[in-house]
Amino acid sequence: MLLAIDTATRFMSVALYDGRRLWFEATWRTANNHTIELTPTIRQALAQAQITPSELTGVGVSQGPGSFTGLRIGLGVAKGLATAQNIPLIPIQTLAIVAAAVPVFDAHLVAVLQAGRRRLCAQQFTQENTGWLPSAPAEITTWAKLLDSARAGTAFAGEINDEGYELLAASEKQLHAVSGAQTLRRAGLLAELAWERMQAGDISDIAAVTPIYLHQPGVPHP
Amino acid sequence: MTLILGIETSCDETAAAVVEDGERIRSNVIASQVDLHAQYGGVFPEVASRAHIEVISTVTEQALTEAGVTLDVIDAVAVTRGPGLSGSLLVGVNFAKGLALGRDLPLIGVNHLEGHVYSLWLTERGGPVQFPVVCLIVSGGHSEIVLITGHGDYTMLGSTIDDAAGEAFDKVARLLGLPYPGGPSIERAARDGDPAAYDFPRAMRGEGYQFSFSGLKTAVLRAVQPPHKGKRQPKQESMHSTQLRPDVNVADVAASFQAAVVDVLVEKTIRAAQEHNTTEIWIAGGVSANQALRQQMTALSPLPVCVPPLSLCGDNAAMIASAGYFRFVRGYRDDLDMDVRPMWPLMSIHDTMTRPAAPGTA
Ligand SMILES: Nc1ncnc2c1ncn2[C@@H]1O[C@H](COP(=O)(O)OP(=O)(O)O)[C@@H](O)[C@H]1O
Repeated sequence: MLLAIDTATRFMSVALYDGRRLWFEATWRTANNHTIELTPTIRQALAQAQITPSELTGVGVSQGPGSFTGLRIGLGVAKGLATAQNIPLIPIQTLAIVAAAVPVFDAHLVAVLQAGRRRLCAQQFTQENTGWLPSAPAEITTWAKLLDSARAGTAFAGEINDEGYELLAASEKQLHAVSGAQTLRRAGLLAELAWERMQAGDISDIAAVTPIYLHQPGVPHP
Repeated sequence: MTLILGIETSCDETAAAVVEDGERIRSNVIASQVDLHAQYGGVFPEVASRAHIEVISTVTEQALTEAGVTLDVIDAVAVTRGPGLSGSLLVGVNFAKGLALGRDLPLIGVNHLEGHVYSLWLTERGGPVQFPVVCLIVSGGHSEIVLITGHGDYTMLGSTIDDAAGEAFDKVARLLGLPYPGGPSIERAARDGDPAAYDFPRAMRGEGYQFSFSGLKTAVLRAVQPPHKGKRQPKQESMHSTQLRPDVNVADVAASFQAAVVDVLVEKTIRAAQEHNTTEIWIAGGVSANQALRQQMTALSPLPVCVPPLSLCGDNAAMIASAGYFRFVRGYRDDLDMDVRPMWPLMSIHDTMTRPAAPGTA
């Protein structure tokens, strides 16, 4: 049984997955209470699925990009659990989890997260066989810049705010947002991605897993 | 035998330790970030948080290995909940929660200052502790005189109204162009200096138990900065200036500054101990590493003075495990919804800390 944890943004999610079925999934918006809410929810997940921590075989975690603090909270708990049971820890890039929720179609997809101060973290994906493959690295940007460079017909998924919905509607490039249910970043999808990696033997050393930060801490004034 | 795994990430040390029965250190692993922060001349919070998440699991594994144990025989996980840097505390607390949940172990949140007090329980002594004792807690963030009447029973007698003692050491060191961290640098420089060369102020001496070190810092600044040509602008003095007057003898300034700090710390602590009829005087926290402070306290105190070994003066997880043990045996537990408390006065731990476990729970 694989436990998946995502606290990369204010939307957080927990899931239990056995390779076929989701035994538990919860996704909610937190008022920045990640530390208070995460472990009790994992405990609840285990209780509802009637399994003990010793039955876990892996922990998947959202690696970023995302809120620095949020990422470290999820990764902290994930490292603790993986250390406790001596099981693999599998990091998955946050925007790949967003893309995984969207049915594949023949166009471009842009997955976004809110990055604070009206900025976005965004990454472009293109269709590749049955899935989405990133076609550019994730970057910090704004709606204006993003829509300016977007190709006609591009779909948007992830944390689209009111400003985003309005700008997408006003655009003349046939840009659109995927439906609300498909735009949610769910740990169930993270669990599937992590499971695949685990089956392929693509496992990292617990200590070596660190968050993906999109920028370096600024140097304070001398 | 009770084994507690302690975890500490409140500031710039990632630490884990295993302590037996609250008093015997089985392992005490500390990954210091001092070199990382030296380039900034102080602790840079985001850099500290990043380093914690990178090493936390390795440090914990190492503490277990060095103690010769596995999680199978650990009885509880104790972790620093505050006070400290929020982003740093979050790493230790969430990692500890993952361990506790993953092994169904009790979780105990510990106050960092209480941890410093318990470094004295890890210090060799002649006989058992007799309460009450008075403890001077002096670190980078705190200068407090605390009356301890029992495990977990604290009364604050005095604290600083501005800078902490360690903070004063750090700021004056920067002013003198001495390397970070400032405390050890000042102490080293002071060895060759004359503590009577400068007559720096001893603020609030003889009255009450409050400290103030900000005036002392300004007095040092005035003594070492080159005289201004022309009109002095009031806001122009910089605590970062390394421009010294040519006639300044750094060793003398360091020794005189250190003497001023030590005088007040010692005078007030001894007076507090006498007024409250304590059996001993304890010194804890990073500044307790200072030899001048240790020597003067021991020389002037009519009561026995206890100080931790140098290895336990700075932040470490053994002291957290020890404090956690004394909570554990009294039945205190925290729930998994425990949050960090970046501001957490030692005095309020009765209201906000662990609560007794319901009968029959872990
Ligand atoms: N030998 C010393 N003399 C004076 N101050 C010292 C000495 N060693 C360390 N310090 C000071 O102790 C502080 C760090 O103590 P620590 O307990 O780690 O603090 P905190 O928990 O507040 O970060 C720093 O301000 C440092 O300069």
